Amino acid sequence: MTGASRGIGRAIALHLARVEKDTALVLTYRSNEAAASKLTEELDGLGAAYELVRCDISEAASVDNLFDHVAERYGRLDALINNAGITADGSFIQAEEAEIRGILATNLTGTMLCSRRALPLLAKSGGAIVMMSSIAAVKGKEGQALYSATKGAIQGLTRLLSRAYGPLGVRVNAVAPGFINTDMVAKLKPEMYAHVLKGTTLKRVGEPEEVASVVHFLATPLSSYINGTVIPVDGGLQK
Amino acid sequence: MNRANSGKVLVVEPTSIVMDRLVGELLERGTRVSALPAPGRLPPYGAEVPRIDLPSYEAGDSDDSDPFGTIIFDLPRIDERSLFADGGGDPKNLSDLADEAYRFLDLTKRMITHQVFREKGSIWTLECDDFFEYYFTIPISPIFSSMRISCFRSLCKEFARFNLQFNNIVFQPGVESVPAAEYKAQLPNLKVFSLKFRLSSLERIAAAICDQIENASASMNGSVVHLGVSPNWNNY
Repeated sequence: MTGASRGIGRAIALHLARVEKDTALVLTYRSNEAAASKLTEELDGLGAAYELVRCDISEAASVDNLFDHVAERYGRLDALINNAGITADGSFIQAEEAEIRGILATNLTGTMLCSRRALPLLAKSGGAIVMMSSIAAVKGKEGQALYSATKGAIQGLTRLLSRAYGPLGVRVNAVAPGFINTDMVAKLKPEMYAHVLKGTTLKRVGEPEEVASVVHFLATPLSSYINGTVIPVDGGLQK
Repeated sequence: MNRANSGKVLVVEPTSIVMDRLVGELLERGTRVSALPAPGRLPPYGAEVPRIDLPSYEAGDSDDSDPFGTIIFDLPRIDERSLFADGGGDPKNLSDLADEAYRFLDLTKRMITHQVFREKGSIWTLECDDFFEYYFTIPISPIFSSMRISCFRSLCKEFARFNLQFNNIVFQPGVESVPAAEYKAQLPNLKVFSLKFRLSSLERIAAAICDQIENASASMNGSVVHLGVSPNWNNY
């Protein structure tokens, strides 16, 4: 799984460490050493079999190193969780070229690079890819047009790969988290997102662990007849 | 033209035969149409469709008295079937797609800038339903189409206060767009859409698109318009 050190990625890593005791986890982070160190302590506490490696998914060479390592050390891959992603919130017409190219490089190209390298391995094992989309791609959000665009692209990529690799036994699905209690949300005052909860059936913010359990479901044979779909994990937003 | 906006239409980087038919339909209906040619392409239409170059869109450079009320992006240009071919595909193709995505986002920024200070306008994209790749050897662009649709869902929320509208039209391929032999062979399978299903002609599709664009009002924003028989709602 990419992007493991913080937020939803961290929750997924810890969830997998708890429920998939016999599985070796290869987890990546880009640059946040402090968060990576904290995650290491938590995973050690759970007795998990894991590696936490540095990888910038926007760089093809970095992705190649990661998957070369996985192939050499483990010889197989059962699931890829494309979690790493960044935001670029703000006025759309004021977005600079570097900002636009940056979010495309990580959220779109990075996800495609990882998928490209994982697919041949997954085709051998009959494994699965889980993509991380967002409810911003489904419902839209002011100030998040770039993020929405890339997360929408992820949904199209999910459709494309599920068709191409479904016949080979590889499943490709996505989750679209809604308003989740991550560091970013913790900084907000409740009145800043009350309008979101107003239009949500469960009337509360989601917890990262609630996304993690769905990702686990999609990454394993528990979801063996689910392919090419996007599961919203949004507390019933606008239902 | 569009009730909410002016009658002047800009078609952005037209290359598809659907857009050709749509431009023809717009002209036939008396609409003024200009074209921003795709890079490296000659102006695709005759003198009745003036060519526009990008610099004229920069804020303040345009003719304020006669802005483009309606802007239409053509179908995506990259066929995504080859992106992951042969067990992984060429990484260069992936960066090409990202470049194309950047180009769309940058052009959209420019188009919004053109319209936002006039506080009116609508922007559309044309998307072909990629589900038909199950039946026909046709170019598909699920990544790009989904990107544009999701982007517009956010843009409508950001710019509705300026009376700008962002909508996408998803349509089924025209009968002229699919190989004739494949069409004949696939007719039994196409009943997944309806019994005795037939693809529409490009002419009819262009007219339907034109109707949608003409009749759209400010009350339609962030919408995905599905044209066709039993359209594939779940993918968009």
